[in-house]
Amino acid sequence: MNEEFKVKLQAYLDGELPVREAAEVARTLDEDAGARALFGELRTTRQWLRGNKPEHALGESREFYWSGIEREIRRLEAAEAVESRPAAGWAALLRQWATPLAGAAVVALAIVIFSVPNSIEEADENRYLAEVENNTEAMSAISFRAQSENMFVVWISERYEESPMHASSTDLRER
Amino acid sequence: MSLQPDRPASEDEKLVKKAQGGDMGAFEELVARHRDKLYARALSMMRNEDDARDLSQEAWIKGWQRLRQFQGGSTFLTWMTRIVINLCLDQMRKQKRQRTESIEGIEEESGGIERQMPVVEVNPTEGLERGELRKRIDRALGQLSFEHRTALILHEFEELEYKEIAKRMECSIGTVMSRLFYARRKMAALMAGYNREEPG
Amino acid sequence: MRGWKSQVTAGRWAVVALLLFCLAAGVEARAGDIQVDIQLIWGTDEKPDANAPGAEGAPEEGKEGGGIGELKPVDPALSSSLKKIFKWREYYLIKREVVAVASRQSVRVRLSEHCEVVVRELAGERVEVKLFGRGKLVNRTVKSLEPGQIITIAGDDKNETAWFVVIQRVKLVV
Repeated sequence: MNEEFKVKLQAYLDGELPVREAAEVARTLDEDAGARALFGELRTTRQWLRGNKPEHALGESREFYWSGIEREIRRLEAAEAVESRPAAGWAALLRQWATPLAGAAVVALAIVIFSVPNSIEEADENRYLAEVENNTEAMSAISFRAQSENMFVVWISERYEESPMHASSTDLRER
Repeated sequence: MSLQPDRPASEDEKLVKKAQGGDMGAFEELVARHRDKLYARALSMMRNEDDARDLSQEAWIKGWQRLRQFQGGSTFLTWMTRIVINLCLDQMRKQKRQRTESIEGIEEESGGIERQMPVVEVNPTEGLERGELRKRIDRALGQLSFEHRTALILHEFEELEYKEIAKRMECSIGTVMSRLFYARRKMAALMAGYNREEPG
Repeated sequence: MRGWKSQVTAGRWAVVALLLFCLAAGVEARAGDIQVDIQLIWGTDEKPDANAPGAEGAPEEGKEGGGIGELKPVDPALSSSLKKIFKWREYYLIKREVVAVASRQSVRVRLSEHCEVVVRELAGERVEVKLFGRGKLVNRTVKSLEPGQIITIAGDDKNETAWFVVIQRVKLVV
């Protein structure tokens, strides 16, 4: 019994073999006691696991556990609200006030004066927020901050061979 | 500290509908119902309580964000479990990238010592109480490599096909078959070994 | 007469106000403009072949690509940063583009045959980076990007290598 056959034996147990190969394995099982013994061991192991998923309970209270989740959800929703806020809404508003002549001049100057501090405040507020969106089922993304290098990293892993980045990465050296 | 009982899926459906409409109270109830199961799955994979708690919480956050995508094709718990499993896999990939691959890992992939192990012919769990059996299974799972353990969890607990496991573990079907085979063999040997240590 | 005169005065003020308004809007727009340095980098453990043509530096003009010796190593400071974070020992520059992104506007950059990025300037020193692979949107990241900060989007490539899209702000020289 070679390694290839042993793995095939397991596929037979798991119902993952095509009919023709399954018939071959069934024949071997009838004839070979060693194969039967291995098959029995694999089946027993499967039975142990299927009927006995390990159980573990969280040591912390319902409220404490939930509070961590809720806090993060609220933080992310607040960040999203900042993101979706119209960036130049005030400019449109100012245009309406531009009709009164002298008033428009004052307001226009005010834009110059006040726009800079506003953007600084916004920058402080958003400096540590990041939004990473994975847009394809074929890939997964994780992100982390490398503090010492001042680098924010998004690492994309391909789940399937036909993922969109598969071809794009292989052509790197062919340019 | 009690383990959560199985809840009727129909009750979950009602809560999910409410939560999809923005009812955070309903979502909190779903969290309370299933948090132990999600934590247990993360702990089975990661073998570290802090990681398991953090990843299970992260899964709930992702669950809330993607709740509208849940169409009811599976139970809510199955859907959430898939999220936590994907997070565990991502976390392990991240950890792996930050350290060099070990020779031990490569050996395990191709069978290593499991190739030489004799077949366990007598059921070493005969007569064991269910609680004790669960403990031994958990202990044995903890002694497997992450790849072997994950292949077993996805196949036996999540009942995924080889093809699905390959997608999630980002490897070929052949690798899944090999990992699963050697994981099962090692598991059988470990269980037999515990029996010799503390006869049931 | 007085009515006509006052109309002219008001008209002048209107012109002045309009000019000031345009100036203000222009300053605001310029203040939001950024320059972004985008690099496509390949990470590997392979060292350049000392005998390969162009192994010492930039690829030689007119030579056919393919040999590792013909790839240009990335800037030493960036290479050092990447080495501290990732496991690969060598980092080669595949393509580099420095683009200006106007306030609230976006710029699309093709990095390779199948890979493109779109960078959009947002409020509060933030940028939105969209990564496209074979025309499909793969990832969208929104993050503050001040001069000195780096956003890296990366992934595994074949044969235990990796690709990196490194995005940095360049200080605008006026």
